[in-house]
Amino acid sequence: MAEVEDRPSLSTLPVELVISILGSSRDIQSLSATVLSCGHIYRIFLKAQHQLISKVLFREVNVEVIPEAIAAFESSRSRTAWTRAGLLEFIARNLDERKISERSWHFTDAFAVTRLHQKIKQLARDFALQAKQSRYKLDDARGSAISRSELSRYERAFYRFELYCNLYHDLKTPLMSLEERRTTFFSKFSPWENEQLACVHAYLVRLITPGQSTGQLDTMPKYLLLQILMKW
Amino acid sequence: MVEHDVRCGQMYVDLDIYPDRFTIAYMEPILARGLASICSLQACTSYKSKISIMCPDEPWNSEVFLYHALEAANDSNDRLDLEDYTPEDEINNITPLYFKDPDPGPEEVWRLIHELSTRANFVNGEAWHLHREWGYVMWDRTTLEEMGIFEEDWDEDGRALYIEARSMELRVASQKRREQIHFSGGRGWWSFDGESKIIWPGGQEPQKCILEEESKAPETLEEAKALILSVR
Repeated sequence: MAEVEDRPSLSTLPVELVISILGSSRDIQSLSATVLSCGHIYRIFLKAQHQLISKVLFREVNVEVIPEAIAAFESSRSRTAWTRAGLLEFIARNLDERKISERSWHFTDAFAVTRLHQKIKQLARDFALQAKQSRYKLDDARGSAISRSELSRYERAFYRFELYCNLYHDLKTPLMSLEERRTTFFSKFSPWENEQLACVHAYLVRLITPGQSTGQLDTMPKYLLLQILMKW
Repeated sequence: MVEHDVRCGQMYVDLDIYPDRFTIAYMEPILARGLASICSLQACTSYKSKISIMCPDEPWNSEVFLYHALEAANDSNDRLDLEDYTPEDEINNITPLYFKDPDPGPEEVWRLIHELSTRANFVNGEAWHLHREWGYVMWDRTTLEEMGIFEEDWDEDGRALYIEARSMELRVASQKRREQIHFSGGRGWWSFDGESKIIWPGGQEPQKCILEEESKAPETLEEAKALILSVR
């Protein structure tokens, strides 16, 4: 019995070492599982939770897209409650300059960020693979090798799409005219960055439109869909 | 028929080009719900569940979401091609990068493709929709080189696309004028060369309809004719 108690374990390690181990977690899921494994670790975690969560989160989410990921997450929290002033303030705070906004992180927020990131990672990879293979008209190694910087570029464009959805999803009573969006949103980006967003838009249109080569609804004829949509 | 009938123009029925504006307008409310919703649509396996997601709440279609906003992100046509830009024109018309991308690929390919284009078509130009399919602004320079984008015969493609772009510009101008006529009550056969075959309810055209976003296309018959002659 005495031998068992003498064995080193996480619960007997010094605080600094436990924090270092927690900070090395592969992802938010692993961090939360470790933290909740015993009271001793949980109490240590509470001393440095914001730093630990942000450290692990920024490792899990591609570091080259962190500002976009945070902006998309922050905008989703106000998605249904924008006022015109709030919208303008958000754009000024998040888009005037590309930076990582300081904030306190909790597990619930971190999980929301990683959930979206997993979706975007998948969409980015799918689009990149399909785009490259369509250009080469080949299904060989050249068509499937995609660099990290290219994937990051795709991911940033998908994040920008999500951010745009969160800001301008209200189609019945839009808070801003198209002209105002030109001056407040699109003017922040170079024309080729706006074209990246247009590429993502075109891809998503093809993804959901019946009858398109990338469409998931190929079994539904286009005329039938339009009949359904136009049934009023 | 599609090129000349007033009703076809009013409904923006286009020639066989994908993605057509009509279809996209019906997809926009679905896209506006964001990536999580789009991914859940992808995940649907049954016809019934797809339909329940595809049939959105009102509005059924929209021209105030992303596609039209990207078009509106362009400035009006100043008849000045990108390749003729002076340093001052660059400052006035090209927004610098938001994300300081160390790879020049996206900017170089964008400039190459748009060198014969005016600022009215810098973003989401319909003539470049095939390029957006292979995500032309997403790739590193080395990948673009592998794809052969910077080879000599590229210029021929560029010029062909230039003609296509100008042709597209005319078609949109034609549709917009026919839309005006339709809202004013006119029906029948229309051409840039004359409107004598239009049938008006009172025998003549009532006061001209004022529609939004006319500025990018030729506004008068004379301007449209001049544009046709410049293409010929």
